[in-house]
Formats: sequence, C-alpha cells, structure tokens
Amino acid sequence: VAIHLDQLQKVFTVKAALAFIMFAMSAASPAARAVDVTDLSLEQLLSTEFVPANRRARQISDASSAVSIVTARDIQDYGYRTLAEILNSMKGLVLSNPDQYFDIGGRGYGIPGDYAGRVLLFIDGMPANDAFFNQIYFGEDGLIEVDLIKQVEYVPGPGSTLYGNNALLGSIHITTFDGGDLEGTRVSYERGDRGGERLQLSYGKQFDNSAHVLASISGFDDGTNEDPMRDLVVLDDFVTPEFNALVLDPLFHDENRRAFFKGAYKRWAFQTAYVERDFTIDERAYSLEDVEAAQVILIKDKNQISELTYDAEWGQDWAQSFRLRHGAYRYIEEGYVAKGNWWGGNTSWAYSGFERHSLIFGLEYRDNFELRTNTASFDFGAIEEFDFDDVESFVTSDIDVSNQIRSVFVQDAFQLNKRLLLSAGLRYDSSTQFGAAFSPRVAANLDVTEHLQLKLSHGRAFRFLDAAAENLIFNDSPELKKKERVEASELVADYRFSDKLSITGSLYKNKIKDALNFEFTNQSTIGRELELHWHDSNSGFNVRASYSKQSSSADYNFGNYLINAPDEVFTFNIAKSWFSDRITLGLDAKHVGRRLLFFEEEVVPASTLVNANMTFRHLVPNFIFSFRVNDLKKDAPRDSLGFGLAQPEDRQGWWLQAEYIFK
Amino acid sequence: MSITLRIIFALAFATSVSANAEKALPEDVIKVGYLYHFGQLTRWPDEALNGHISFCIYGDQGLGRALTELDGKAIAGRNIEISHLEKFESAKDCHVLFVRNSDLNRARLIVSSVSQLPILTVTDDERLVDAEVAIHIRNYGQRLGFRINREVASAANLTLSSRLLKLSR
Repeated sequence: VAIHLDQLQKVFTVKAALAFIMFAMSAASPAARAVDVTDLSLEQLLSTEFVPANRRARQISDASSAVSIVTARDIQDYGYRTLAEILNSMKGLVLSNPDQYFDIGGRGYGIPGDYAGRVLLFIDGMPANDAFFNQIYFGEDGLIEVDLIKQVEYVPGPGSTLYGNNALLGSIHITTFDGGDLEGTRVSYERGDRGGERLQLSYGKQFDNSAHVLASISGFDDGTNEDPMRDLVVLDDFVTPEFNALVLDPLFHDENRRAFFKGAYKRWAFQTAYVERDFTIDERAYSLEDVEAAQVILIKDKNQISELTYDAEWGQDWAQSFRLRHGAYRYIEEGYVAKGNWWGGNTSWAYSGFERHSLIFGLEYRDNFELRTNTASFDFGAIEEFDFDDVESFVTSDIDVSNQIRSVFVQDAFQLNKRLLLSAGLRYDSSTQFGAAFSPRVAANLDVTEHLQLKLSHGRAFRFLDAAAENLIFNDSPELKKKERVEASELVADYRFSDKLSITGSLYKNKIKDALNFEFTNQSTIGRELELHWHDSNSGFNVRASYSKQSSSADYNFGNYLINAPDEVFTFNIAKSWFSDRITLGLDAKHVGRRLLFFEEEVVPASTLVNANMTFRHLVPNFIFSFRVNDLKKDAPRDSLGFGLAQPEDRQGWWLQAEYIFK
Repeated sequence: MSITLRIIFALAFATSVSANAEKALPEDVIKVGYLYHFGQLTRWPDEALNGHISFCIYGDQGLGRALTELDGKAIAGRNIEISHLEKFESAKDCHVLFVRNSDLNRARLIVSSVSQLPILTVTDDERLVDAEVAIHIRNYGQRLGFRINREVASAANLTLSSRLLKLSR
C-alpha cells in the first residue's frame, strides 16, 4: 500500500490545483460587459454586487490646490489604524511621533515638537483643533476611530480665507459615515502582537423619514502595561560610575476611550466626538536603586467637540446654514493643568441669483472663554484625575488668556465660460487679544482640454499665537501681538488619461513671516509634487505613487535651513483584489529623505517604511477580517526631537482586525 | 478525498453558483439600470408628459457616458431623451433629474428649486442626504440600494409604484 503514497499525493496535488483554478475562475468572473441593463429587473439589480466605478474619490473641499484623498476603501485595503497612518500615506506629508504626540510635516514645515498647530482639522465640518495648544491629535489621542471615516482629504496651502485662524499651511477634512452607511450594529476587535487591543461597538440606522443616527463607543489599550522591569534596555551613554544606577528606557503606555454620535433629521444635524487618552511614562527603571522614589508620570488628554447645524433655503436663489459649536479640551499632568474651552457660531449665505456666479457671504464668532493654566506646588504623584479648582491653596499660578474672535468673509466663484472658473475670497478676523488679519485668496481653474485641467492659486493665511506660546511671552511684550503669516502660490496640472489613469503635478512656493519656532523667523519653501493614480476595477489593481521635492530656507541665528524638512518624499501604494473584491492585498511604502537638525552635522538619515495588509471581505456574510504587518524592512524613520534623535523604536509587528455587522 | 479538498470543492461550487446568479456589474451601469426602472415605476401628472421622457444629469459627467445606453430606449411608448444640465432654468423640462458630484450649494439649490415641480430627483451624493431629493442611491456593503423620501415625491406630485416603495430600503 505504501507504494501508492506518492501517486496519491500527486493526484491530490493535481486535484487541488484544479479545484483552486475552478474556485478562482468562478469567484473572479469579471463583469459581463455586454449586459443590457434594462433587461435586468429591479430585484436583480438590487442583488447584484457592484464594482466601484472609479476609486478616484470625490473632492469635498473646493480647493484649487493639489488635494490628496484617502477613502474608507483605502483605509481597509492598507489597514490604516490611525489618522497619522492615513495622512502619512499622502504625497509629501510626513508624520512623526517622537514622544507622546504626533507631529505633521510637509512642504518645508515640520519643526520637531511643533506638533500639529499650523494645520486645521475638520470632522464633518466641525473644527477639531483644541483651543489651548491649537493642535490636532493624530494617534490614539485623536477624536475619531478610523473605521468611522468615509474619506480624508488633505488640502495643502493657506486656508484662512475660508477658515480663519490657524489654517496656515493646510487643512484636513474628515467625512464620517452616517447611519445609513452602517445600517446595523457593528462589533469590531483589533489585536496586536504586543498585546494591544481595541474593542469598538457602533450602531447606525437610517429611518424611513430620512432621519439617520450613528453612535459608536470604543476603548484601546496598547498592551504595554506589564511590569516595567521586564523589558529593560540599558543605555550605555548614561552609565557612569558616579551615577551608580542603571539608566533604562522608560516604558510608555497608551490607552484611550472614545465616543461618537451623529444624527440628522431634515435640515437639522447634530454631532459630537469625545476622546480621553491616558499616556503613562513609566520611569521607575531610571533608578533601580530606589524604585520607591522613582516616577510614573500620567499625562491625560481629554477632548470633546460638538456641533449643531441647520440648513435653510430661502426662495430659489438663497441657501443659508447655521452652525453652533462647542469644544472643551483638558491637559492634565502632575502639577499642571491646561484648559481650552470655547464656543462659537457661524452663519453663511450662498446666493446663486447671478448668472454663472456662486456667492458666499458669512459671519463667524468664536469665544475662547477659558484658556487657562494652573500649576501647583503639591506633588500629587501619578494621580488619575485632579481638579485644581478644588485645592486652590496649592495652586501657585493661575493664568487665563481667554479671547474672542469675530470674523466676516465673502467669496465668489465665477464660471466665466465653459472652460474657465475664477474664484476670489476675502476674510477678516479680529481678535480681542491679537489684533486683526486680512486673508485674501484668488484662484483660476481652466479646463484646457477634456483631459487637462490647470489650477492656479495665490493666497495669504495667518496664525495667532496659541495659549501655550502666549504663556511664555511677557504680558507687555509687543511680540504678543505678532501673527505668523504665510503667502503662498500654487500651480496644479491635472491630466486624466482615462477614467482609470490620472497624473497630478504641482509647483508651489510659500513664504512664512514671523514663524514662532524657538524664535521668530522668516522661512521660504519652493517645491514640486507629482502623483500618479491608476485604478482598474477589471484587473482589481489600485496604484497611487507620488514624488515630492522641496528646498527651503530660514533665517535662524544658527543656520539658514529649515529643521527636519526632508528634501524628498516618495509614497507608493499598491492594492490588488481578487475574487470580486473579496480578498485584497495592500502594500504601502514611504521613503523620507534625509533631514538636518539644529546643528548641520546632526542628520536624520533617510528611511523607508513598508507595511503590508491582507483583507478578507464577506467570505462569511457581513464579516471582514484583516491582517497587517508593519515595517517589513525594519527601517521606520527615526524621529527627531529637535536637539537630537528620539530613541529608535521597534515598530515591526502585526495587527489583526475582525469586524462583524449584525443587520 | 481529504477534508481540505472537500472544502475547496464545496467553496468553488458555492461561489460559482452565487457568481452565476449575480455577476458583479460596474457601479455606473447599475445606477443607470435604477434610473431606467425609476422612470418606469413613476407616474407623472398628465400635464407634465409629452412625447418623450427626459432624463437630466446635473454635475459630474461620468454617469453620462453609461447613460447613453438608454438613448433610443422607451418607457411606456415614450422615447427617453438624455441631457446634461448647465443652467438651472432648463431643469424644469426634466422628468428625472439625477444630481451628482457637483458644487454642494448649487446642488442643494437646484433640488430645492424644482421641489414643487413634477420632477423625480435622484442622487448618489451622500452629502445631499438631508436635501429635498426623492430617491437616494447608496452603497449597502457590496450592493447598491436606494431610499425613497415619500414626502419629497408627493410634494412633487409624483406617484411611485408600490413595487418601487417595497424595494426601497
């Protein structure tokens, strides 16, 4: 009997191969091209799976710059887990995480420790930067779970004409799913190789009267809260005979809780997002000799934003929208609390009564009513929660720099003829603390041919000092009134070879005056970007590749170059789907060129980050499963701290995600 | 036969059956099919009808190409005519108005400006979910479905067949 084993194996291998081919052919049968759709009944159409027409997503903003878009499908194909990973896949942007917060860099900017204060974030139109530091949070401290995101759009260039303060270098627009997109209860679970876990519960429904709701709660724990003595890493540099202790890498622990709600009925809509993130720096290992006295530092961020909107139409030509907003941010550290509380209102009118014109006129008010810091002398240790108002006797300083901003804006888009769209806008912002700013912008979009579109724009934007910076400047200093200002121009050429293939190229130039990075400086950058997008639903390929090159200068007293600004950035994303989109393999790569730090000899070397992700969709109905491996090459970029490099961090690892929708 | 092989065969069989039953079609083709059926299953007031039935597209021209398949077809003896709107005013001559991927304010205005006219408004633009549009086409997982806003349809003096209402989400 033994002699047949080989034959048996052979037969089985052939059979298995045949079966696999049969399986592949049956599942991957392409769309029948010759179908006359009018022959199909409505019921047949309802039960027919669709192949997305064009993965080139719709642009939400009306920007004339070279916008980057990542859709929910991309998020799933590449397995992005944070907003930082999404943005890092976009052309020219570089996200880094030297300590507990992410920094964003691109088009010349990217000063370490500058966090994300020169870009604005909107979630479904709600401004989401915190009011105290004016920052965006891209990681586990971010306001929104990525699987609630339908689309992320990054608009580079000055945006103050539309959005006012802080839209200095760009704006990020997130669109979230609504109840009708989910239509059921979704449970999702994520697990990483280091024990990290996320659990999320979402519910969405659209009702017959067109009202829709979506609610989601989630919790995340990165799984590193084990005994700090377990993974000791000795840093030789610091071990001296005098300092008779081991100096060890501190342990970071990250966890969060999030909640999100949105609902709409007719012309009304309300939404709110909340996150609290606990970041623990466990430095017990710093002084092994005296573990008792060593520290565990807890840093807590709490962030919440809400918005109520009402859209009205007055007659044939007028549309008006009202927005009422509130935001509350709190940063808590041992002996230090910062609060950024604000509310605001905005109304805008759109008028279409003039032939070929789209006019918008608007008013905005923002009251940053509590921008307050407290420090205390008392050592509270790693306290879970603490309110300085309760123990006034310990408070050593209490500074409030609250202010109000009033704004008025107008813009017009004029369709001169079939090919040429001209637009112009002007916004005036007046702050009780920082004075006033004008932000003009002009743009022209020209359809040169059916395939080629050119966009030219020029504009100015500004940024008032944030409350954190303001605290560092003396009250009577004239520098208090300084604004950062940018003036930027951009030319974009968008060539669509077909529905499948397009190329976008852009040339830009920006000049920033009085940028506050360590000192007030002037900076300028010129650069170019090229992006190719190819999507072919027949073969299941989706490819996006980009190259960005820039050169910049600054008048720092230590040198005339911009810190941490890479000359070159490449991105390459490729996804291939099989079996009618049921299985997708996504590969994303990012190359960041070398960057100079404070002293020219300090260089962050070039590096290439490569991640891979495999997604299985609906193999079991309503079940989606994915597996992602990070940093395949083990060459994630070293992050810069400004005065040096952050400790190299091992980012290699995997994440597994499973979700099930109960319909 | 080994268990693995059995599973592979079973899967192959199952997917081939399901794939034959419902071959995947390009998104725009399905949407054109929907528009055709919406036109079939809607009754316009007599005074709104003439010799033809007019399908208008406002916004992105992408679907326009798929729509040309409908050119020359007829619904209840009336020839289908396809047109791309460039001016608001011409919207009043449409029977079916499909709004997609256009400037949001303009899109809102155009659908509200025709809300009292016997025009079946359709969109696949999720940003218009709260606007006065009679039928929203949207993705439901791997399939496209649609939702009907009965108030909007009845304000437009249109009668939708019960079959259409039943199949709406």
